[in-house]
Amino acid sequence: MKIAEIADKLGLEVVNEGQWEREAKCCYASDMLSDVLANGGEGCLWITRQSHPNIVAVAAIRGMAGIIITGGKQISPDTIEKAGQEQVMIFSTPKQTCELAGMLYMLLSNEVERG
Amino acid sequence: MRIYWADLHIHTCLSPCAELDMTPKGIIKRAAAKGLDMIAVTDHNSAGNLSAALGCAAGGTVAVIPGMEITSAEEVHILALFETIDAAAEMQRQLYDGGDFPPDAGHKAFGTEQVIVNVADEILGFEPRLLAGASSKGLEDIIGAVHALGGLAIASHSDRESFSVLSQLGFFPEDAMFDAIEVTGKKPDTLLPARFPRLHSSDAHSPDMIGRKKTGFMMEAPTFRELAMAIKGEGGRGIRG
Ligand SMILES: [Zn+2]
Ligand SMILES: [Zn+2]
Repeated sequence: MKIAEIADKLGLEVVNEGQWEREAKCCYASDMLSDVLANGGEGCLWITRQSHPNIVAVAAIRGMAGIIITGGKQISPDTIEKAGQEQVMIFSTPKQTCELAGMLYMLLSNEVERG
Repeated sequence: MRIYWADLHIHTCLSPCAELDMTPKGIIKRAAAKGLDMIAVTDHNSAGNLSAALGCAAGGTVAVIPGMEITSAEEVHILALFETIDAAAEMQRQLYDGGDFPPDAGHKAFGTEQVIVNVADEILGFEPRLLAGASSKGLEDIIGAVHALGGLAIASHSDRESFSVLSQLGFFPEDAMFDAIEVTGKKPDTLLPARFPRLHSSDAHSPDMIGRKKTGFMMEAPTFRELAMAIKGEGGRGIRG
């Protein structure tokens, strides 16, 4: 499913613009960046409460489709600036990780079932 | 100048995960027996037992540096060392200001009581705040606050599997303002920026752990100012093992 469609359906707020046309194939939820660095899948949307600038590099290294920061957290200008440089899409949502992960998982798996 | 041996990361019975026999008096006795010249008392997010620790150390052979192990919003542990208890107390005030570490948050779920004691090991009270929690301030903000109070900011167990810069942030941010990093040797040293001085400390939570790891500092005297100079490599001071 295209990122634009996902953002629309989940009501995500855009923090940093990027490749709207890109397909998100999967999702990954984790707040430990060492874990995401090891296991984050290419083309996945990554759900986290972390907002440290390092999230941008981790997402870029793993070729992830974008980052969704949960819990309505304030995101520092440093993180947004890095995301601009690396062209990594960042979204924000007031929803908590579990709820958002459930919604995103349903969206992506329904699409797989429909073929 | 000579080498002073220091263990700069020791928890008292105030830390939720430390054993109850980690009283300031007991810690200093043990540190002296292990031949340490200097220790830092670094409870999780609290300065509550520092006055007892400094009181116990007065007139003895072991110098005590007032410290604290602060948990950042990223859940990175940061050792903050200060020249005075007042600076540590001010750091604590800033940590609690704004609603972080609220009182009565069910701290007993983490095991032992968080005990505040006096110089004679008598119980003064129990800390009701959940010291195992985290600040809402990010890593850089906390390092900035420590420096503003004249303190040293050290990345705790920076190469460990949990609550470390590497575990929480994936890799070491190039621009991090740490004065030094504590290493455990669990990961290749190449993952850690070469520019940071390396320290070894025990992170003792029980008496037998005190002094198991230590760092030698070449300096004039076991004081905070000399330690800061040694960590920064100033005036002929330095780290020697
Ligand atoms: Zn720690
Ligand atoms: Zn510790």
